[in-house]
Amino acid sequence: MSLDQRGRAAGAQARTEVEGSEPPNIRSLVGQRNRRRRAGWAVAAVIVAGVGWLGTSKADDDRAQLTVDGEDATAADDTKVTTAADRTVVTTGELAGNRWQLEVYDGADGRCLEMRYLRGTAGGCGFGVPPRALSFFRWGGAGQTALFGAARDDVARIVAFDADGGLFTTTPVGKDLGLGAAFYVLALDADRSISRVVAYDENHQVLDRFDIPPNADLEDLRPADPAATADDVGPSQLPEAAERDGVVPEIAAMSLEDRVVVLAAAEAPEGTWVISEPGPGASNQARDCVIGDQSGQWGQDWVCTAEYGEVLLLDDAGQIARAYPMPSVPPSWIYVADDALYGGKVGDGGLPHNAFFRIDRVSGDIIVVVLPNESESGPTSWPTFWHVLRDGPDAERFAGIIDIGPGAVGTQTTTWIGVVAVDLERLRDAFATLP
Amino acid sequence: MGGGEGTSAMAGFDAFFAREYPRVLALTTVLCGTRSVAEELTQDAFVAAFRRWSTVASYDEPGAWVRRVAVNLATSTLRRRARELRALTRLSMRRETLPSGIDGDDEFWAVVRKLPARQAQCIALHYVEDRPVAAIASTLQISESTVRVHLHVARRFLAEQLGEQLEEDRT
Repeated sequence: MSLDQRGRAAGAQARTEVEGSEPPNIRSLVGQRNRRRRAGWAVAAVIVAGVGWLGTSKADDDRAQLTVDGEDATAADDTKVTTAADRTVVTTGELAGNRWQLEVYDGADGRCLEMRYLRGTAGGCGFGVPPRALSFFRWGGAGQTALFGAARDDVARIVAFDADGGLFTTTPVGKDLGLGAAFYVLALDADRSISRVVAYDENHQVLDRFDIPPNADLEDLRPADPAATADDVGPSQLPEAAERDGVVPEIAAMSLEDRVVVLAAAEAPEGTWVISEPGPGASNQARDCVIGDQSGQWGQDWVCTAEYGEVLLLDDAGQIARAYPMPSVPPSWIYVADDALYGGKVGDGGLPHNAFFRIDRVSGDIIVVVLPNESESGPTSWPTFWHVLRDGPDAERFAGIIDIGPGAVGTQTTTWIGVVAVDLERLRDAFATLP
Repeated sequence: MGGGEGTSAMAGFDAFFAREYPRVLALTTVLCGTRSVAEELTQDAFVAAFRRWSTVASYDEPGAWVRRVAVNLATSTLRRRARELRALTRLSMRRETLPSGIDGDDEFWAVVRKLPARQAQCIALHYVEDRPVAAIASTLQISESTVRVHLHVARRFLAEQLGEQLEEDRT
């Protein structure tokens, strides 16, 4: 069977499996989504308002002081915490000496979550787990902060980061209660400005994340577009760094989410080397694939996103430490050698030019060699510091260095196009003999 | 807009929804690999279309718009995962850890989900919907040459990973 035959059969199977799927009631869905949005974002604003009341209430301040001074479990009764028979208490704890408890109940708007603390309550209904791995409610005031919500079954750990670099972690509870989700509370005995909440699975893979801009109005956290994601924030690179690296300013101004789709990654002491291509967000910003000022110079002032790739060095925080634009020769493979990062582009039917590069792992300097496929249209000029080898002994030294496909002979590289092996010694020599 | 016109417009949406929902669901299912998540994403895309139907209905291809939203939603989870993997856990990508909800040729779609998002979208539109290059380009708002590049690279990867013979590109 050929790939095309198999693909068409798989496509037909996929269509068949959803045939007869009754579309849900769209108006009911819109109502649900509206409630979810309110629960996820607007309701959170109400929570803050409610806690603000806690923070300014003299009576509550007094009560908190009383319980800190020695009230034990019976203090929960003093705070008038009551639980209806149809509510399930999924977890309880103590914050600044006051007991809190997290309850789940079925309300008119679906399954609801409510945290009770002192005389206040906070929470929302229809918490959207799944598809998201977490629902997230923030509660702050009276010198304390609490994050709580529902967690998908595969969430093993929840970590909150505050603006000062603090890290707070907890594990979900109540998975075995049959409520369709697990639950979590991060009760912080301080008024923390939480900047990020991340859900991890048991293999430490990130399942979901909320980025919270400083002093954000919680309404601002609502995605502006259905195709957007909550982590589309901030430029991926500062202008000075972009200029140093020769990155088109409009590319640098994109968020990491829009700019970077990791195709392959390799670890090194200096950071993580990755091959990346622009994401759909970048394509959406492009006009007929062009990003940047087309009246300027190709490769420097503008690029075509469809033919653009980068080699990036990412630091521990996942930010771009160095960027190496590779317009028209988006890299296919990389290899971390003792002396340098080597990599290249294996020409194909769509982008036929071959390229090799060497990045000194100490200085960060890059040497790029392009072996253009003259039979194809392509850039009429290349970046001036690249070596463009059309023929002659220098070009011949780069011939046959790469072997691709199953059974490829040589040093195995990190790649996203299958198997690429390189004759590392020949590659080193070829670079060493460049004029 | 008068009430009668509004009713008529929403009737148009209902027909659009009934016709397109299963097709879009098939797309999101193969792209995200989990039927329940795919249903949520598909519904989100149609809810978005419903909310701005007066605008979307005026497009030449409302179906292309809703597909674009749906496939972006379906692949954004993968992009987030990839980003987080490199940034926070400093591990290589493990997109294959996504669970599958497809009973058919799951191996095929599992490999598709390893592709970069745009390539996976092109492949899904090509094989699930049997769309020609021009229609895929229109749906994703990219050029036809870009679609050809994505299909070419993706097919080669799929052929290698699946051990299938790569036919001449007929698109």
